[in-house]
Amino acid sequence: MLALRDLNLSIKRGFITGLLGPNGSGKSTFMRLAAGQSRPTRGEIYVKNVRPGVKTKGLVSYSPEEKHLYPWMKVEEGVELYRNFFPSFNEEKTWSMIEFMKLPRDRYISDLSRGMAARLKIALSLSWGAELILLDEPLSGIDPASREKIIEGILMDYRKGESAMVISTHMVGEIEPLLNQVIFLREGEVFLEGEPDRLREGYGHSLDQIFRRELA
Amino acid sequence: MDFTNERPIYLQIKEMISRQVARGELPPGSKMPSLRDIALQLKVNPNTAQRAYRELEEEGILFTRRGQGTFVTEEEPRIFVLKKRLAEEGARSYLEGALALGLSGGEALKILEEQVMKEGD
Repeated sequence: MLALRDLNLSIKRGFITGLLGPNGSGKSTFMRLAAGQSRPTRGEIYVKNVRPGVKTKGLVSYSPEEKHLYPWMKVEEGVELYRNFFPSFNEEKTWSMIEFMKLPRDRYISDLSRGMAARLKIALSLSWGAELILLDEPLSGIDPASREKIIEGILMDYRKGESAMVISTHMVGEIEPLLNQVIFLREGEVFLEGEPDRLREGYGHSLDQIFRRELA
Repeated sequence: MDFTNERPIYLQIKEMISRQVARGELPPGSKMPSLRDIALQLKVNPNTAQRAYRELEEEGILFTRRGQGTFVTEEEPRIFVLKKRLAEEGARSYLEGALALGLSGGEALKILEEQVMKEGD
């Protein structure tokens, strides 16, 4: 079975793109392909004309849905890890983001609440000025206050025209106003894509309603 | 502010700012937040906020001073036109409501006149 097929899409600089679709529609597969963590069985994918892999490591920040930080580390050690790993790590920005996200720096990652862990993940994803930022389900299963912080963090980081961000989610509502490009996936294929305000105008519905109506 | 996601968000931002200008909550000549700040405040994509600003500029409600930012128009006639437009929208929906109740236009007008007499001009 193919996770994605006949997929032809481009992610543009200066856009916050929503990759929307129900579970199993291929969102995470696309994220992993773009991050160079898996390879397409057929077809091609490029990040700035380069196939994702070792060469794009310094371009792409990928935040997977699952936990990817070491639970035995403290918050500040997690930051340290990123500092050592990414040459363009931004010290000042990262700490102000850690502070904004209200993350105690000496807390063990294993002791963070789910919302805090999600906030840390975002802070670290945005810490080194990647050109392509991939956030897989950054809001799912997170409390409302943390969701709000994450949305604000994303907006604070937004650098006009300098980076591209892709946010995958199956909960469209809250994140709608953040997006200026949207791609709906269904069973591995693009079902609908476009500019959110234009879709709202055309359908007379919210993206969430379109999503529920067409994909649920 | 909470937006309904059912209508284009740039339009809702335009309406919100227009109302604030018409009510004087954003006085003539006052400085608007930067795009970044208003996007953060409203939790919307900065490009969406930019579109709202741009169209309000085209309508003469906002203007930019190079290097200084975006400001509310200082031209009172423009603000008066804006007030009139918003009041007309209100009037239209009042009339629709009254007609839907089965009242005539004349009756609707009479009710409105009585209200003006009661509440004062």
